[in-house]
Amino acid sequence: MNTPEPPLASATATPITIPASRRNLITWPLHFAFREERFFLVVSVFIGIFSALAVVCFRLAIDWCRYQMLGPRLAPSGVHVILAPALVGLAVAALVLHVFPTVRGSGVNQTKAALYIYNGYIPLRTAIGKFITSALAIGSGQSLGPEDPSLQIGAGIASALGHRLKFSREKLRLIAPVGAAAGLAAAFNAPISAVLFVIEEVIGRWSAGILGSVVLSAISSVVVMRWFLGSEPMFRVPPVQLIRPQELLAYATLGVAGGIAAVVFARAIGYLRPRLKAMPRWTQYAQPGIAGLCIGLIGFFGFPQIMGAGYDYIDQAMHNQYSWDVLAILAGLKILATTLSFVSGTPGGMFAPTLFIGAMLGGAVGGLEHILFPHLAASLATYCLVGMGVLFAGFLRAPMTSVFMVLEVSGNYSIIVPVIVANTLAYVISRALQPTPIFDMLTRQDGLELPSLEEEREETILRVEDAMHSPASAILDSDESVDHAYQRVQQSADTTFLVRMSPSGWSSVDRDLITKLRGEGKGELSLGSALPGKRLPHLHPDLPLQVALRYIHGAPLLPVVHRADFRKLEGVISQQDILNRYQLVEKPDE
Amino acid sequence: MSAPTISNTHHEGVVFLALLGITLVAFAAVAGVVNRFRVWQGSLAKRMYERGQQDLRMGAPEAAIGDFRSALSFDHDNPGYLLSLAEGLESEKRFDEAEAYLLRVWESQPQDGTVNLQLARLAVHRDSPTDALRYYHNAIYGIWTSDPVQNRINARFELVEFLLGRHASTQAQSELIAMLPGLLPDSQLHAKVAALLMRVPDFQDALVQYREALRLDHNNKVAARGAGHAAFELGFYWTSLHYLEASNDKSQDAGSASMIPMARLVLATDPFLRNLSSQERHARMLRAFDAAEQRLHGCMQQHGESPVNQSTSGPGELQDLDLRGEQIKRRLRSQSLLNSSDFAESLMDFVFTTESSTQQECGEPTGVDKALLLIARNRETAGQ
Repeated sequence: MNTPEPPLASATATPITIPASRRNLITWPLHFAFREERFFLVVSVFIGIFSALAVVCFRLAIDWCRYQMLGPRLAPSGVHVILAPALVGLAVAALVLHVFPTVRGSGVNQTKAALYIYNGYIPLRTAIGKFITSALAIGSGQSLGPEDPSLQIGAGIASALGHRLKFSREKLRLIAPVGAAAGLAAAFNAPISAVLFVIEEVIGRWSAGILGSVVLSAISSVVVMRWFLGSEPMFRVPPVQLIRPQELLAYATLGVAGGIAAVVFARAIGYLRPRLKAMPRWTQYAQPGIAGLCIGLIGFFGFPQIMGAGYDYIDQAMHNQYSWDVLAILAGLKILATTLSFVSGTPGGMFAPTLFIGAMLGGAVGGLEHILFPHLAASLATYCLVGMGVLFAGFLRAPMTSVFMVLEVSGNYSIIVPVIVANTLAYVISRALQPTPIFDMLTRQDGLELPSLEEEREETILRVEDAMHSPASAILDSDESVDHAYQRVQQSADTTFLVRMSPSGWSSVDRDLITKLRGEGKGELSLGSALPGKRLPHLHPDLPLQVALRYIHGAPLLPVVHRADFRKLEGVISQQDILNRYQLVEKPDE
Repeated sequence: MSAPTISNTHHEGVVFLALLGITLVAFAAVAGVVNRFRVWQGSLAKRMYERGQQDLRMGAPEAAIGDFRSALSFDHDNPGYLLSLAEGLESEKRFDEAEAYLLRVWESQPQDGTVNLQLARLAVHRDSPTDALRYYHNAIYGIWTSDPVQNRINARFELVEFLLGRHASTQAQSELIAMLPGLLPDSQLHAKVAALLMRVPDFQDALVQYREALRLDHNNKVAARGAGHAAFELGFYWTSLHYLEASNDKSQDAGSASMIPMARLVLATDPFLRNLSSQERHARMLRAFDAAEQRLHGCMQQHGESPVNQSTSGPGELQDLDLRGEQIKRRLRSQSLLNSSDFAESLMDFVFTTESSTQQECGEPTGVDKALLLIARNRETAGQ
């Protein structure tokens, strides 16, 4: 086997050198500890801590508002059930229109926009405004959740800290997602889900450069949050035992139902939001109030469960409090209530309502299946939990996050197989019926174009093997003499030839150079010793074509070699080959 | 990125320390807020819980359930609130819900006796014997916050009742025997254990426990009656009579009341009792033979069969017995029982076989026949 060569990527890394004169015993460790990369990691931990502290306060604020406005009873009753969301809706509308104009919506897209459009800048005022208006709205019973605002609050704190510390533009751009992960992790008590969600939905692409910071901030955030609010998982269900594999069909049914419900929910928002936004400005003062009034009326007339985030009611559903038909009604009403709250521009998140709808739908499907097939072993709580993942996958279109979210909020890993089956189905159905994911739809309605991981998945990735061709000319060997090489190149029409170097590596030589070497009397020398020491970078067939562009500069062609045997030539690629291939993509008809 | 300088490094160090300081201050501030909030939430939860208890006492379980749920919304994992909610739901016959909440407590406190006992009851209700056994055992060996000994005994009694209800007598007997060494010196308790042993049935251990109950309290009429009953079943008729007569009170049940004359009759009929003279023993044997013959003829008549000397058809089982009786009768004319113990044994074997067969053919006997059947059963048990 050949000696492995250093990977291509290492060629781009520029080590930071510290002047030797400055290197003494006192400062040397600090130099290492506080290079910007590492300092950014340290700051990520602080971002996690600050975000968690803010989220803890945010949750307390929501609870406090709720007690003040709806009373201490879990199921509020009386006329204030109607008045609280309506009146607070009016107040929130005034705050949003006059004091905090950037706090509309859930916060996910705003954070993403900060990353891609505003160089990672989120004004601290936005984070404060989000805190106040979301706490008021959710506490008063608007059908919204605290997770997405927590994400934006975290991003806002991170952005403020980054600007205060005067990080480079590159780091500032990345700092908002770091805070977003921290905020979401604290809100959900689920660090893995938070990291995945931020990658899937906020950053929109897998980026190894930021992963360390995102993970650190999420972990430190969760540690702080658990310190204050406890480490118990959000929901607890008994371990799932799949007695018969056929039981997976029951979960598959839930996946189908969840996929359809997710599409209905997304389309309702997609249809109503631009229409309400297009209405005269004065109506925007009234929209959150009217939405609150409608939600209050639903609560007053027997379904207070749909008010607020609804986690207590999810818990009740998991404890068999509701029959399947009540659960189905609750799922439907929550879709309606959340759509009203969200499209009216009330600040607040969609995570909690999505989980609520999923849990109720899961419970309804599970309850009905239990009536039809009494031998099914799983508890209703299991269906509720799987239902949450299903809606998350179908509506928010974050399939990986949806799986880990269910595992983390329940602390129950026995449920993974049903979750994967149901979530995959919901995701596939939702994608088929609603090609644009909800967050992308919302950004486009706002006139923005932000990258999306789902769209990235759809893109055809061109690889080196799509553009390379077989070497037409002779492959020269570094061990053969210049005279021999000369004779071989005479038999070819090409001007440039690849040279297989010994013991490994590749170089190139053109006809003129061989002729020149021969003229200089170096005909007896081996080609390897006569050629200048410059080696060609090599490529592999599976590398993205854009990587080839980075290395082709200055070389007429590059060797494409086998990954396990660098001397084995798979093909060659030239700049023209690459351009031709890209032109084919742009003009597929040709 | 430019190479770091000492001033940069120092700047970052200062920033680090500043962030650390801010973190500590913020941490302390949030901790203060959270603590105050927790106290406030705790008082609200307690208020709702107390309201729920009051509703429960006033017979309004539905309102109580709402209050307990509200209390739980402030204090999610409070086992006391969860248990009360489960109790409220059980009283409303919402067993599935109750079980779900109990399981939540169980997850955090799997050794809690109260939780396990309630789960066991719910498992009994949904007819899940495996779960019921598991939870009952958890309750018996679990942790009880108050009066653990009595609670464990009560849990065991419930388990035995459950097992007896499912006709799992051997398991029930094992459970009862397992609890005997730790039983408190309480007459009522021993009498209760004995009563359950009677239902197993394990008359021997039941008699021991009744005796222990009587030792602890001579006036325990229930124990005396039970001891009499157990002794009767064991064939200790003198003992039975002794206990039954000692318990002779107005509250005596019909079963016990009928046992006294029967015990007396058995004692007056049994030819195998010790201290009987030979004449008396033989006289009893002859009376038993007469009674058996009469019972046999009566039974044959009931079945429409004629005695052997009048029959035209082939012999049946009863007719075989009648034939055997005729042979004994003929032999009695020429030979005294006093001269042959084999003959006496053969005669009594005929009596016992006749009583047993006629019981199968013609139903439960009464009077002397019943007494003879009991004597036969005792002889058989003694022989084993």
